[in-house]
Amino acid sequence: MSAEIPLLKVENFGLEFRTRSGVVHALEGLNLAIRKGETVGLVGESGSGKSVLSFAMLGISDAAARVTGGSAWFGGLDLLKAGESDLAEIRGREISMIFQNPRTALNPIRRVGAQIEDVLKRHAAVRSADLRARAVEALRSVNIPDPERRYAAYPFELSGGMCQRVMIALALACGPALLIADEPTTGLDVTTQAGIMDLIAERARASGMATLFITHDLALAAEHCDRIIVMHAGHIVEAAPRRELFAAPRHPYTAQLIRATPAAGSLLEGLSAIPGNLPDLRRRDLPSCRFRERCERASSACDAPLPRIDAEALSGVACWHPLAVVAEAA
Amino acid sequence: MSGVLLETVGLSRRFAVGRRAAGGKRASMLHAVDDVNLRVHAGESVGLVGESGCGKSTLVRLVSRLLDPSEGAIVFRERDIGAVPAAQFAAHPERGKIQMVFQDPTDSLNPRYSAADTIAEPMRLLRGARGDLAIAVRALADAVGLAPELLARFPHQLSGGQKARVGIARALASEPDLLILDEPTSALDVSVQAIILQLLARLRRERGLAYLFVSHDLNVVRLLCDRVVVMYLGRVVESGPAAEVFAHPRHPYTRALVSAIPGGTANLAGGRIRLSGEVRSPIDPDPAVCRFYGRCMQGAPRCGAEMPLLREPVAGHAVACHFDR
Repeated sequence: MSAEIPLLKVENFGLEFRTRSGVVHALEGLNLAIRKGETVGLVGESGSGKSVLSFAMLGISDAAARVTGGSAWFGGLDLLKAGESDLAEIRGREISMIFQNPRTALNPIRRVGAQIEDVLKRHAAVRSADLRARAVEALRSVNIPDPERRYAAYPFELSGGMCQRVMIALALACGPALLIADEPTTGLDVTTQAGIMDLIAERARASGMATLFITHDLALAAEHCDRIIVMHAGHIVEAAPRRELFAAPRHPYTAQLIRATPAAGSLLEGLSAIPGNLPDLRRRDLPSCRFRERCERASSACDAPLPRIDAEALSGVACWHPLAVVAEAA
Repeated sequence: MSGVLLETVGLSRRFAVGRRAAGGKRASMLHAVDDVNLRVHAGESVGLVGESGCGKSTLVRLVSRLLDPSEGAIVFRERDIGAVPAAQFAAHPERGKIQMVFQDPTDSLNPRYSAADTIAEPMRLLRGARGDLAIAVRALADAVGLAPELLARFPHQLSGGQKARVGIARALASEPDLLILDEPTSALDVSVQAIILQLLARLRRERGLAYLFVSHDLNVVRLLCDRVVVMYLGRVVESGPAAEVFAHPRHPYTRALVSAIPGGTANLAGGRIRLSGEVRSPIDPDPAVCRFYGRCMQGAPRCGAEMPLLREPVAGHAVACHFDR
């Protein structure tokens, strides 16, 4: 598997925001790779940089963002250095994104069918006579009942789950190689959530599409991802195949995250919160390990630059005092 | 379990929607809450679950008397408070005994009130407190684990977890018997969620509070609640002890709900249940049709001809389904 060239390979990627209150060191030294057909979960607390990373991949970062280094190879193109016209070709066709809130991401004053046609017109060679049929087909493919009628609906006429399906139809209209799904089910009911996640997985399987699934819900990632990457304060702290990660988390943060998440069999007393907060990323004296001030295993050894996880490694941990490979009784 | 604290009898709320049909006599009615009998005992924690639009929030607003019911009674501490108009309930003696903790800890705090002011406000309004206010605020902050030096801060200077604590302290300030918690942890990160849940469990134990806990995170409900009430399109479809409902859901909707809990499918017989079809319209629903009919995997002609009533085949565990044996 490792011999295969990954679909997306990000190396030593860093990004900062220039703000009035100082420079925010949002991302630092990120290494990761996504292979064809793989579903990778990106988990972490809010503020850990998950969405910033995905926006940067698409070249839709905030104006205050500045890439400080690294590369992100997608096919033969470095996404971080690519010009706007190259990126515009890739967005929606090769890499597409499902945004967190479908109600704000969809254009409120255009019919959903027309919005799908926009994507097809821009990125796929579809004759204008066929546009409508293709758009209806796209709506049908995401299990929207009565797609002929829904074609003419405005977003406000659809439920949240239905809007999210429209977003998925938009994202998948051109058969992308990589789908970035940024918290696609936040705010949806569990029953709807299950349906949406199944739908994404089904479409990914059918077309060999890779998925980068961003979530703060560890339980949801556990259910749907092949591999999980854990982020904390702009660093990747651990990467591992799903089973491995849950059976034997190696980074202290991952272990605490798992212990803090209510799961099917857990008891209230068994839950433990993670002490402290994310460090202020504007600080000049950020420790080399950004988890250090919250960590129970920290020592002076942690002052050394962090060990990095190799981009193509299936698993790895960025910590000087990782937990033992075999699961601990704790 | 001690006495009944809150009971709703045949509680319904309908909203008029749309225009009157041409020549028609009355507007269409949206049945948000339909014939709900809910009971919360003193000191009990009841979870209210169901998908968005099922009437959870309307029910909560009825019980907290922000809305007037269309029909039915709300009995709280043996007094019928359902008949008091919502506009007058603010001055009602029972007002302080029902308090709410809201979903969004940021939006539900007054940005121009310091934490101390926020906590003191209900005491001023409802308890007619005098000089000992500062001491009482301190004591409450202490009870919810809010450091005293944070009391002078404004909401924007507090973290999400700290704001959640302020919201809880405010709700406790009038010494309520019933706390209505509307998704109290959904806006928090998992790292903070655990402490807030433990805090809520401790407060309930220490103060003998009853909780009506609204959430769609079923893993959280399971942790915090003694009993669960499952709603679907305005009606209660199942209620029973939390452990029992999660382990052996009886209503098809509850089964689908439980099977959709992330990480929980493996131990449920039959694996994940997918719901197909569309939610029925809550506008002028046919009173003879089961609300779940059309989405239900067991649906039969009888479901389209007769509304299943809530029965209690096992003591304490009620289900509204024709197929429940």
